[in-house]
Parts: sequence; C-alpha cells; structure tokens
Amino acid sequence: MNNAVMAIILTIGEAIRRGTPLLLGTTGEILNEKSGSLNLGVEGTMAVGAITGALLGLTTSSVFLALLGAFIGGMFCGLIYAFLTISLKANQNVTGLAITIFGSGLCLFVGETLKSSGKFPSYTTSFYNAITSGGIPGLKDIPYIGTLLFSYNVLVYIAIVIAIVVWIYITKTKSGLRMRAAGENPAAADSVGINVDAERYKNIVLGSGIMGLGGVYMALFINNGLWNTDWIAGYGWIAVALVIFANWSSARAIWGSYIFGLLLALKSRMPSLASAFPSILSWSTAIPTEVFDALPFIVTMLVLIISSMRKNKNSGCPAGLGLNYFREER
Amino acid sequence: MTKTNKDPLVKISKRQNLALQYKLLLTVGAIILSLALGALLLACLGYNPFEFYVQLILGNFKNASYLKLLIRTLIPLLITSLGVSLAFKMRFWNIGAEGQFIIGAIIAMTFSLFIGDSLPSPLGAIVIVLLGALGGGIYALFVALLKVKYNTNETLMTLMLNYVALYLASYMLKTDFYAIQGQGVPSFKVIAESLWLTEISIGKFSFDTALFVAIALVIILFVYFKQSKQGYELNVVGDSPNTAKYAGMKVKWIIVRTMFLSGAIIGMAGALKLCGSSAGHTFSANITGGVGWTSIIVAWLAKLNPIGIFIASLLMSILERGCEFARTSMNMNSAISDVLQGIILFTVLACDFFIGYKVSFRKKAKPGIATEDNGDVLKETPSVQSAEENVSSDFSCEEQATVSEHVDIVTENIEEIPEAVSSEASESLPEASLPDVTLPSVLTEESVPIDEEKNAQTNDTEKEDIKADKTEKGEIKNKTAAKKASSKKSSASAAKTAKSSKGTKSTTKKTSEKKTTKVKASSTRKTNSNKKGGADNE
Repeated sequence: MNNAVMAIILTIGEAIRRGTPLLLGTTGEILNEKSGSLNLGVEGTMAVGAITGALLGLTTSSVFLALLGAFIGGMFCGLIYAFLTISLKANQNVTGLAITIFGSGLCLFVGETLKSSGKFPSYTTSFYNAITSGGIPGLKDIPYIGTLLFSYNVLVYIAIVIAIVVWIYITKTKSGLRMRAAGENPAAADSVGINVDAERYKNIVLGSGIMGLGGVYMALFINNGLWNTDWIAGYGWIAVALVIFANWSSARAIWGSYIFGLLLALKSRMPSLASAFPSILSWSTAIPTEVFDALPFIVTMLVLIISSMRKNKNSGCPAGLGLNYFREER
Repeated sequence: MTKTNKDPLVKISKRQNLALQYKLLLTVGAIILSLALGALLLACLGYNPFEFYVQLILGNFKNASYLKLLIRTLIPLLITSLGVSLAFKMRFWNIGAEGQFIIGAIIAMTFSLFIGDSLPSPLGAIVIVLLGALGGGIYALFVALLKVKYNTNETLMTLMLNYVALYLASYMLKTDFYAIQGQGVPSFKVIAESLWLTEISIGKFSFDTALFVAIALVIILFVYFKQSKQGYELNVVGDSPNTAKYAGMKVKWIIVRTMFLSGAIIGMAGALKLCGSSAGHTFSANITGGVGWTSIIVAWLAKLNPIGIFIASLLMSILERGCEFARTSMNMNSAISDVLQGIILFTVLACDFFIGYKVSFRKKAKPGIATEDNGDVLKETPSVQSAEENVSSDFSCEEQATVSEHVDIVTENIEEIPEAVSSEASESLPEASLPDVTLPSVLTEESVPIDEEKNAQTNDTEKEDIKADKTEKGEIKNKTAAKKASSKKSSASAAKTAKSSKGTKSTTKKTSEKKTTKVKASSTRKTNSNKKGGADNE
C-alpha cells in the first residue's frame, strides 16, 4: 500500500514537473493572444530561451542568471515577432513559423557546435545541487504531503506565481483591460486613445520572455542540462493548444498544464505504476512506448476537436486574434 | 490633446500594385540582406563567412556527383512546397507537410511490401506512388473535414498529426513486417526492385524519374492557378470566404477538395522519395529530411507562385546541400541551414511590407510635395461631398460652400499650416472610421479630443463589468452618444473658426482628409470585414 501511494505521488510529481514548462509556455502565449497576436513561434522562442538560459546558467552556475538569460532570449524572439507583425504587418502565422524554424535551428546549431567541439558546459556540482535539491525547507520533509506539494524546484513555484499574476493582470487591472481591448477590437481601442501597437509590443515581448523561462526549464530540469538535439520536443506546440484548452485564462492553464504534464509523464512513470497496481495496469506493459509518446498530441487533437464542436459562448478567445491592425484600414 | 502634438514621424500608407521589377528587386535585396545577416552571425560565432559562402557554392556545383545530390534534395522539397502552396493559397495553414509526407511514405512502404515484385517495373511504381498520394490526401482530408464542419483550428491539427505520424514511423521499426529485427540495430526492409523509380544517368550525373513528376507538377499547378476555374476559386476563398460564398461558390467543398489535393501532392512526394534512390529505396523515420518545414519557407518566399517555388526550392536546396558540404569541409554543424532559412524568411517577410506599403517620413512641407499631396485630396473631394450629402441631411449648404472654397486656399498655402493644427487633424482621424456616418464630420471636430478622453474614462469603468466580447458594442454606443452631445457645441464653434482664415484652413483640411479616409474606409471595410470573418478563425 505504501508502495502504491508513493507511486501515485511520484507520478503526480512528475506530472507537475513536466507540466511546468507547458504552464510557462501557455502563460506566455496567453499574453500574446489576449493582445491579439497568434504567436506560433512558442516552440522556437522556448528553444532560444533554453539555449541562452542553459549556457549562461551552466557557465556561471547561477540559477538566477540562467532564468535571466532565458527571459532575455525569449524576449529577443518576441521582439522579432512583434517588429515583423506589428511594425511591418507581416502575416502572423508565417512569422510565427519563421520564429519556430529560426529558434529551433539556432538552438540546434549552437548546441551541436559546442557539443562537437567539446565545449558544451556541464554541471558544476554546486549548480547541480542548487537546481535539483529544490523544495521548501522544512515543509518538504512532511511525509507524503511534503513530497507532493513542497519538493519541487524553484521554477515550478515561480511558474504558478507567474500564471496567477498574469491572470490578475489580465482580468483585474486597468492595463490588462487596455491590452484586452487591443486584442478584442483594436480599432475601437485606438479610438479611445489606447496605443494598440504599444500594447501589443509590450505583451508579446513579455509573453515571449515567459516562454523563454519554459525553455530553460526544459533544458535544465527535464533534460538535466545535458545536450539533446530536441530540447523542446513539441512542448511549445502543446502550449499553443493548451491556450485553447484553458480558454485563454492563465489560472485555468495551471491545472490544464498539469493534466498534459501527466500525459507526458506516463511514458516514464507507467512501468512503476504498473508494478504498483499489477491487477489494474498490467495491460500497459504491452503498449509500445510510441503510443505514450504520441498520447499528448492525440489528446491535444481531441481537445481541439471537442472545444471546436462545443460552441462556447463564454469563449475567452479575443475577437481580433490573428489580425494585424492597420490604422488606415479600419 | 496631450503629448503627441506632432505629425507621426513615419507615415505608412497602402501602396497600389508595385511594378514587378521592383518587387523582384526588393525580394533579391531581402535575400542578399539575409545572407549578410547570416554572415554577421557566422562571424560572431567565429567562422569565416566568406569561406562559408564559397563552400555553399562548391558543395553544389563542384562536380556532377554534387549536382546529383542537389537534384535529389530538390525533388521532394519542390513537390512538397507545391502541395503546401495549394493550401496556403486559400489561407489554409497546412503546416502538417511533415506528417503528410511521412504518411505518404508509410502507405507506399506498406503496399510495396504487400505487392512485392508481382507488378512489372513502371506500373508497380506508379501504383505505389498513387497509393502514397491517396494516403497523404486522406491524412489532410481529416483536418479539412473538421475545419469545415466544426471550424477546428487547422494549424494545430495538422501540426499534431506531424507528431502522430512521426511516432507511428518510429514504431514501425519495431515490427517484423516493416523491419528486419536482426542482432543489434533493426533496419527497414528495402522494397522490391521492380518498384524502384527508373534512374536516368548522363555520365556521372543521374536523376530519377521523380524529377519529371516534379516539373510536370510545376507546370500543372501554374496552369491550375492561372487558368482554371478552381484556381480562381482558391484565390477568392483565400482573400475572402464570404465573397466566395456570396458569389455562389461552395466554400466548404473547395476547402475539402484543395486540402485533399495538397495532402495528396505532399504524400506523393513521400512515396516518390521512398521509391527513389535518394532514400535508398527504403523507409526511415526521418525520411522527410525536414522538407515539411522548409516547404513553408519556400512557398512563402515564392509568393505561392509555382515558377517562383521552383526557383525558391532550388535556392533552398543549394543552401541545404552547401551547409551539408560545409559540415565536413568547415567542421560546421548543418543546422546552420535552418538558421539561415529562418533569417531569409524574416527578411522576406520584412520586404513584403515594403512591397505592400509606402513609408513616408515627416517632412518640412515643401511646396512641390505639399501640392502634390493635396492634389489627391482635391480630386476626391467632389465625389465625397455628394456622398456626404446623401448620408447626412443636416449638413448645411453654407458649410459646404466654405469647405469647397477653402480647399483652394489650402492647396496654395499648405506650407503655412502650423504643425499643431495638422496634428489635431491626425488625432481626430480615428473618428473618421466609425461604422455609421450619422453626423457630418465637421460638427464633431472641435469637441472630439475632450470627448475622447471622457470616453476613455467611462469606457474603462464600464468595461470592467462588461464581458470581453461586448466591449465593441459598448464603445460604439458611447461614441454615438458623445457625438450627439458634441454636435450642439461644435456647430457654434465651427462657425466661429470659419471666420479666421487659418482656422478654416485647418478645418477644411481636416474635413477633406477625413472624407477621403472615410470613403476609403467604407469601401475597404466590406472586404476587410469579410477577411476578418473567415480568414483566421483560430
């Protein structure tokens, strides 16, 4: 029994660990979409955040600098996206894809180049301890509950805080209202004196910075700082879909991310779950691992289909999503 | 009103059709710029950019065997880009080319293992390729059906299907049907020799028959886009689904049909690659070689023109091969090609802006330019006025007269207009595009700035309660209310300002400017709202 409880707790823990980059990506994307930009560059933005953050963090052994580097890396991508779509009125879909291609390529290129020349920085012991021995001291020693709630690395908690702060910002504050107006109906927002372009710039860059944090999480915590040709592994795309699942609310994104984190965790956790509950889950050993790999994507599709079938009147989808705003065209 | 009491420093306006040579010039300039940016990046990373670009050329044209590799890279990319362009033409964001390519290859692989060598040489390959096309088409059709039935986001759906196809492909390696599970690493079976594509060789240089298919597809699609009714329908659906609907086109059927064709062409590329020599006549999980992504760049670079796609995919293939060559010769990772492709796409996207829009900087009004600008305004005023008359009954004749009188003065003395005044005009511009023209614009002029501020305040407080999707209504209501309130005050003030010459100049300029924008706005609004209605439903 003890074994079984521990298996469940560890699975939930893994779900939260894997859900966190999704949460950061989704929160960033919500900021983008709420201000009217459908940024499909999450995957690439996360990749750039991952490489800048991980390199900075691994060379300086500072968690703070890792996060800062990732945030700046993400903001850099956001700035490119914002400049192209807002100032130069480029197509949002294509620009987002360009960001993804560029960002993933840049991450791959820099990583591979450093790896092949043997210069890829590795963990120093202190840094490794700093990022793995997470958790809230004292509280995490409580049996079960401590492991379940208080034993994660610092970014897990930061992600939750960011999601809540973003939720408050969007729904409760005046500047959040302006930003939503720019996303819903830019022409109307402009006519009441809201600087639509500035609102969009601000939120795209901020959101992309948050995506960058998700990227460095992927690099340092999911891949343990070890170079891997695909650090982001489609998490960015799941984040784009999660925005729809969360109905454009970053508060809802918290549990949405953890559900998808659970799907992502199943591949690694299924064997131990099966051994903990042999009578219920013994069939799972017969399933090829590729099914677990594809599962998050299949469920994402189901979510997309179901949410589109259900005509939601309270949809949080901004009316101006994906449309560039050009003053003279109103 | 407040801080920004100046004409915008940079003014952006729509440009009518730019001559083709300028478009080409701009595109070439963008590509050169992107190569320069790439060189900068390489220099930052400690490589010699000049050496790299030399390698880029060497890697493709050193001798016939390199050229052969270039053609091999080109064929799948060209066909896939053509398939992608078909969907992009109607603004259907099929980014699932990776998946459709893999599925095409999987279906082809499956059937070629079933058929074995029971069919004679060319027939077997044709059957396999057509089956692969069918597979890719059905994979895409699934998304299209969901799109037309439930308006499911096609971008994400096609993308998720990429991953599903990819994991399916990597699972295949574990099965006995597809792969030889020997000791050590399993490997995919090679398809029967009768199913291979015919290889045509000229000396050291050789290519397989897939090249003919690719070139034929370029021509077919060129004719399809330019000459056929279906191609025309694609354009209309892409520009404005509502227009297409009103014109009696079956939009849903067009979407489904086109998406099937798009997926089928991409699936065919996968099957052709499987049967061709470039993949070694066998399957692999990374059989696409990333063409699904590159094809998006190619299609956009070429502005979805089949001939342009041929050129762009050739360029991209050269880039890819060159980077592959540089990998060995310069010890540089070939992922640099992705980075460069990304940069090329950035600059081309930026260059599209300069094709579609005109950028003019704020200038100290020079006589020549000023009159030229106002000439435009003048031309448009008469028709505008008549339109205005119809719309607004309480637009007095006197005011009209003053307007037309002073337009002349404006054109003569335009350089004297103080900046503050002209900025006021630009500030009140937002008013101009209100959906319903209920009151003459002159009347609201003066009080607009103040009311705008009020509006902003009331709106802010009101909006707190109103749900997000209702904001639009609320604002319009507010505005019309504000307009009514302001009309009384401003009729008096308008009359007052009419007496001082400078003031009138400004008003007339304002009105004339406003009217032109109004007319433009109302004419573009229809098409615009159509676009909004259908183009991007994500």
